[in-house]
Amino acid sequence: MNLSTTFLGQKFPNPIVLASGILGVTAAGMTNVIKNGCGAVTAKSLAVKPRPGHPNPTVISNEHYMINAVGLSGEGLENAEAEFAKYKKNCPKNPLIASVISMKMEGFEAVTKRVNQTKADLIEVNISCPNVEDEFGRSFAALPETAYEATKIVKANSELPVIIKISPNVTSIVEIAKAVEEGGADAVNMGNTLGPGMVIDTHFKKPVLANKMGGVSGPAIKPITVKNVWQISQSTNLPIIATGGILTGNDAVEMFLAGASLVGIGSGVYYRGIEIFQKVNDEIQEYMEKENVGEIKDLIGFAHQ
Amino acid sequence: MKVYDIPKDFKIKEIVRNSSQVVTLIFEGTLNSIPGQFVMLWLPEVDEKPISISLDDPEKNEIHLSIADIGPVTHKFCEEMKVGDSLGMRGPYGTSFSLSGEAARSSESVTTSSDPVQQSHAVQDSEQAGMTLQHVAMIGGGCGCAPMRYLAYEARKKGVEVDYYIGVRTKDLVMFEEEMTSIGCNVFVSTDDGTHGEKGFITQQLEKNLAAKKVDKIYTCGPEMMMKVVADIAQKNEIPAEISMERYMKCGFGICGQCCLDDSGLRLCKEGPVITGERALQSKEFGNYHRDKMGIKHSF
Repeated sequence: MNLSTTFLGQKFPNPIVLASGILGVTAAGMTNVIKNGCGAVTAKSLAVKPRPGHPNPTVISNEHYMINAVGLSGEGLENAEAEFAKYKKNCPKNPLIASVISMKMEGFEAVTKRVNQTKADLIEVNISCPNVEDEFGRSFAALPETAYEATKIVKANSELPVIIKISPNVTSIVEIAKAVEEGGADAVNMGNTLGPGMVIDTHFKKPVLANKMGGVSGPAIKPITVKNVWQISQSTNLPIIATGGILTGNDAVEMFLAGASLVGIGSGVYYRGIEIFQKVNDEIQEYMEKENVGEIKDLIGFAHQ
Repeated sequence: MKVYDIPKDFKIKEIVRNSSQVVTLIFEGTLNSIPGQFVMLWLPEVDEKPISISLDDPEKNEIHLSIADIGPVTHKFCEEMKVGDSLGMRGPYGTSFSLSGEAARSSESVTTSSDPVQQSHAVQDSEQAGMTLQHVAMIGGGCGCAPMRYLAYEARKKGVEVDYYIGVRTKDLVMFEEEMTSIGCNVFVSTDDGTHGEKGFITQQLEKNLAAKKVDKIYTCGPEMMMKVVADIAQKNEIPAEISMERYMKCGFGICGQCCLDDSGLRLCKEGPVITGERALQSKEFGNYHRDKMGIKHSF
C-alpha cells in the first residue's frame, strides 16, 4: 500500500494537503503540521501587501459546523517570502502551495508575478473567498466569465502550475469548472467555504461574527463537496483537490472515489486536533489494506465506473 | 469540562476596582476552569479579546476577570459595563499552571517525539513527577497579577506557602496586595518609581529572596521582558518555572495559526499560554519579538 502520489508534476508523500487559512501563517506553524503527518501545505491566502482583516470574533464553531470571517488578514507576500523559504528548508519534500487573492481583477497579474519570486511549488488562486465581494455580493468564482478571466490572467503570468480554488455557492458548478478549464487552469480546488452563513446570539440579539456573516465549513458541508467533486470529475479533465468537511480517512476515500486526487483538511484540526493528519493517513492506509488497493490513483474516480 | 466555542452570555453581578488601571468584572456562573486558562471575552458589535481568568469559584458561582484599561476595547470593558449587563465568553481555553510538581498541562502534543523540545519537556515531566510542592513563588507584572491571584487561591487551599510578587510602575497600579496578604501569602511589592514597596524591578526582589531561600517552583505572568528575566533566574537557580505567554489570538482553539511560536510551531492558545520556563527559553521569539494580527513581526 502506497500513500504517495503525484499531482501536477509534484511528488506528495501522502494525499493530504493543509487547507488555506488554517495554521498557515508562519513557517513554524506549517512545519508543525508536516511533523504531524500532513503531505503538503497551503499557506494563508495573501495579497502582495499586508491586510488587517476583521475584528474578533472571526471564527466560532460547534459540533456540526465552523463559521469564519477572518477577512483575509495577512502579512502580504512581500513579508511571507522569508517564511516560505524557511518552510521549504524545513520540509523540502512537502510541496508548498501559495494561496493568493486580489480584490480587483487587474490585481491578479501583480500577485501572480510576486509568487514567481518565492519558493512556492504551486500557486492556488482564491477566487472564491466569500469575504471579498463586489457590489452585488459576488466573488470572482460566482460567474463563469469572471472565473475564466481571473484564471486566464494568472495562467499568463505564472511560472508555476495553477490551481483555481472555486466556490460551492453557485447554481452550476459544472459551468464554473468548465470556464476555469477553458481559462487554462491546471487543477481546481473544490472548494471554499459554503454560504456565507450567519449565527445570531439570542441573548444579545446580534450576529456573533464581527463581520456578521462568514463562510461555513466542517462536517455538515461534506456531502456538498462530494457532489461537486463528482460533477467536476464527470465534466472536465481537471485534477481536483477536494476540500470541505473531510474529517476521517473514510471521508477522504469518498472524495477519491468521486474523482479527487488530493484532499484538503482545514476545520478538521478543530474536530480531531492537530493529530488529524496522521489519523487520516492511517485510516486511508487501513482502508487500502482492507480493500486491497495498491495506490491512491487506483481509487480516483472509481465510483464513476 | 464544558468548553464554549460559540460565545455564551454571562451576567455581571459585581464590579471591583483593583487599581487605577485594573477593574475586576465578577460574573454569575462558573467555567470549571483551572488557573492559567483564559476566555475570549466578547462585547457584541465591538470586538473579542483573550482575558485570563483571575478566579473561578463554583461554590460561590462566580467568574472573575481582571482587565487592564489599555486599549479601546478593554476601556469599554473597564469603564462602560454596569452591574446587570452581560458579556459573551468562549472558553475556557489553553493550558493551566500545575500545582502538583508537573510541568504545564497540555491537551495535545505539539510535535512528534523525535523533536528535541518535546523530549526535554518529557524529561522534565518525569523528573518532577510525584514531587510535593511546599513553597512556591508567583511573579505578576501589572495585570499579569490576575492569573497569579487565581493560582494563589488554589495553592493556599492546598496549604502551599506562596510568595506573591507584585511588580508595577507606580503606587496607583498596585493590585491584590491586601487580598493576597489576607489569604496568607507572603507579599512583595516593587514599583519602578519607588512610590510603594521597593524601588526597582520585582525580579530584583525575587533574586534576593531566592539567594536566602529557594522555592520549589516559580510561576509568572506579565510583560514578556520581565518573564524572560524570571525564566533566566529560575534556570540559574535550577528551579522549575511556568510562564504564561501571550500572542495575538483569533480563534482560541488552535486552528488559525496566528499564535504559533517560532520555531516549534507551538500554538499558544492550545499548547499554551502556560508553558515551562525551559520551553519558553528554547523559543527564539521569547523576549525578542511577536507578531501582530497580520502576522508581521515586531521586536519587544
